[in-house]
Amino acid sequence: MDVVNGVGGAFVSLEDLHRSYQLGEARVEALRGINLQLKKGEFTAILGASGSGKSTLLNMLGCIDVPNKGRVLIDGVDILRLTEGAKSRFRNERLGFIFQSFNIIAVLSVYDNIMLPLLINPLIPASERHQRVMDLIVDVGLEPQARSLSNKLSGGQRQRVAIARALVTDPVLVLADEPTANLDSETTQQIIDVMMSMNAKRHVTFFFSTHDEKLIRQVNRVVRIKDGRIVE
Amino acid sequence: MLRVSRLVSWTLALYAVASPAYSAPSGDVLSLLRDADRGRGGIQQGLGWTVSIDSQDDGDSSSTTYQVRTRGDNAYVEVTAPARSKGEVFLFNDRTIWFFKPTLKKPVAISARQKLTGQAANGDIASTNYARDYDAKIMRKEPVNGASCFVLDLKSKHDSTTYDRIRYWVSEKRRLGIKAEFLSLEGKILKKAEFKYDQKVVVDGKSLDFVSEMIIVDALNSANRSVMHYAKPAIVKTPDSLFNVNNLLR
Amino acid sequence: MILAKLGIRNFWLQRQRNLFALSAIAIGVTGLICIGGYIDRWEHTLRTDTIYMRGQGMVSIYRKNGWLMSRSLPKKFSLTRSDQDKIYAIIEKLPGVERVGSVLNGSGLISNGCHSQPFEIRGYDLAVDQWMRERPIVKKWCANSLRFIRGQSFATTAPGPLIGIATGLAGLIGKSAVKALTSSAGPLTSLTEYCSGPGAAARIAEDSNVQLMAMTASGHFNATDADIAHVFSTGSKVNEDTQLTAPLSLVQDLLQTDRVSSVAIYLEDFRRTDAVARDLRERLSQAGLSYDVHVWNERKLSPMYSGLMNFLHAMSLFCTLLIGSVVVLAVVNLTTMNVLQRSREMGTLKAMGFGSGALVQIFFVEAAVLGVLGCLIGTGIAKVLAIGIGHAGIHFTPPGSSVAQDFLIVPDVLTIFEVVVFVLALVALSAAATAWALGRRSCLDLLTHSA
Repeated sequence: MDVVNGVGGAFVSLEDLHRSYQLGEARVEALRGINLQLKKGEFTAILGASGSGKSTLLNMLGCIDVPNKGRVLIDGVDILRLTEGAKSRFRNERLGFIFQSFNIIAVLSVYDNIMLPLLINPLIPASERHQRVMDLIVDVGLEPQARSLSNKLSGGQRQRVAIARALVTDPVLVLADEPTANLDSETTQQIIDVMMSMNAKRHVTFFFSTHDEKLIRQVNRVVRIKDGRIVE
Repeated sequence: MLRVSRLVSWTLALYAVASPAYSAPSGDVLSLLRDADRGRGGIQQGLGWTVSIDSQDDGDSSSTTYQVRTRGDNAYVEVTAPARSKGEVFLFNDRTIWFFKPTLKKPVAISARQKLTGQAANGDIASTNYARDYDAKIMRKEPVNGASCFVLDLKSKHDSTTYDRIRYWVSEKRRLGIKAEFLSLEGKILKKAEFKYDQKVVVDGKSLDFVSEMIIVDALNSANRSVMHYAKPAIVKTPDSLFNVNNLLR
Repeated sequence: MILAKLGIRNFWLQRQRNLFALSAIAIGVTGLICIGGYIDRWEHTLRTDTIYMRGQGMVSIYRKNGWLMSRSLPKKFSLTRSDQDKIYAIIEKLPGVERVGSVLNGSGLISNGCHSQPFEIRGYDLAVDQWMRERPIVKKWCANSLRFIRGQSFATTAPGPLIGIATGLAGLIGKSAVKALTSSAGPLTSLTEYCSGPGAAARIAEDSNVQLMAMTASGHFNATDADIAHVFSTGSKVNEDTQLTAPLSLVQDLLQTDRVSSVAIYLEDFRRTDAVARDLRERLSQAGLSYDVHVWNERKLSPMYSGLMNFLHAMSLFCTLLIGSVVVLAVVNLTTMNVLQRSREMGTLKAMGFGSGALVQIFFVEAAVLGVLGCLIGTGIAKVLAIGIGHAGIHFTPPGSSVAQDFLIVPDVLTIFEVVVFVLALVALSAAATAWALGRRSCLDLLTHSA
């Protein structure tokens, strides 16, 4: 992978990002010239109404969607120039994902769910996997449920599993798409607290979308998006 | 006048003596066939002769001699040579043929069209009765060795005949079978035969031509042939018991 | 391991949905094993019948073109005494030979004294016949053929010239008696009375004596008396009206020859047939001897075996295609539903960096569990069916057969193995192909368009 400097030496740099797609007969402009830089270790929320382009932006950062125009640099890597195979490796080694619906595999245990990304990670030796997983289980407060099947967990517990899974490979960037949307307020706070503690402890850059105004008070930085454009 | 009538009478008498005693009007097919049969042993009175069959079959030679005694539709044929077959008997009762040898408890019913030896079938060895066994039609006249012959198409009347069809050349003058082609039902030539009549047999005081040789040749392979040499034809007194199949067992 | 765990647990989670596919697989396996078992039964039976009951041996040696011509032209196409000596000398050096026997084929007329019927006769070594009858493989697969309809073997019947006669031919000459059971009648005095008098049919039927007549090798007639030792069924309608068997000596006496039509070799292991035949051809060639060496399953020598097996294999191929299609459809349908339902799970895995191969692996494992279970159940059902059918004693008369046959299913271990491997491969490939085709969708598509 070629290492490229982002704008102003930013850790994550989105430059003039455009994304549009066909929806029936209409053409939808999801992103209209996004420019955004994130610093390493930032805990940033992107705020916007439904359909504002938050998810699309996260997909761009997560290498699971491709813009019509623009550039995306993460830790010096122009991800748009990666092959599909390289993107898969990049996602595994450098990124972590936390989904709104948790996306935990219900028939696997907490332990196995967190172990999953390590199975194909070439940078972390097999001998370290167990300890790494156990450390994260402790960190997210799920030690008693380590061997429980995920379908027996509450929503909040599942999201903790998702957080642990997202962090197990020591990613440089964790992307979370409305991670608290399906949780009650108390659990929401717990999750945010977990994410913040992971951010502080591991210096991992967090970038998550939300439409919950209450959450933004707890983040380092808020980026607002409206109609596919960054407004502040 | 008396001289002319005497001349005519003597001429007629000479003609009658010189001519065959049983000549029938030339257009009568049945009569023609009967005359031809007579030349090959088809005589009601008891007749006897010997016949030796010398065969060449796929390069192998064999020879068998039979003593034949016939009367009407019956015939008793006994093997006299070679030694290993001596005493074997073929008994013809009308259309039924039996094979017997002294070591058997019972005779074996066989068919006229079964192979006897070489190219000869069982039905070839005894007397011929084409007039009884075949429907005949004169197809045409044809010369054979300079002699004018009627060409007859003979079709078998029943299953017990030796052949399904025969094409038969009968001499117009001598009223004897000169040549034959033995055919399958579909008209395919299976065998060919030629006859010679170089001997006579006296029947009821009359001297009749009798077959002396019959040469049968495989239509597909002329190297396979059988030559039947007939000898010593004579009237013999034969008891009825000789033709009784039950007497074979005694 | 985790991916395997994932596959197995998902299989259990979707057990109700899996039931249809599982049933299809199990029934398919049952069907294929039963079909295979039916074919195996006939393969064993016909092979044993061809090799042993028909006296062909695994390998047989004829004069050049003798297999076709020795019956009609024995002098030219049968093996002389000298030929036999040379052949036996070569066979002595062959490995794996268990037994050797000579066979003389002929034809002629058989007579009951009143009328005659054509026959085809096979003369063979009595010692070989006795040995063959004791063999477990023959007792197992040709029990029906071993049984005589009436009478006993040559060895156990009173001495004398003896024949075995097929039921059809026995019927044609009006015979029902066999030597051991009849008292010897006095000499016949009147054939007319015997054949046409009152009670003639019964008299003929009760008299085991017949006359055999044939053309000898030198082109002469010969005939001999014989007694019927047993009445047998050839198993085939085609042959039922003409077949006789007899000790070799009787046929040689009848044909006035010391020749034989062929020499039959019985091997310890029939699977070595082709190798032994090759070896034999080479040895004969090296010795400068020119004979035809035939193996038992050559089409021209064993038309019934070849014809029937080809037919059965064609039918089984058709059934296999049919059953295979059903299995494939069931598995493809199931996998499609599974993949579509778990699109989000697959998208998540892809987001984590897993490639399409890993996704295929998960569904492959699920399909493998399905396949193994289905095969186990299907095999079990097939085994039970086979045993049940065997005990039920069902008989039927196949087309062209002259006797009823036992309906049996006897699958070989190899057949079961082949069916299981085939079905497992089919299931695995169907699932893998389906999963691969559907899993090629993009990560975004999988995450956003989950069922």
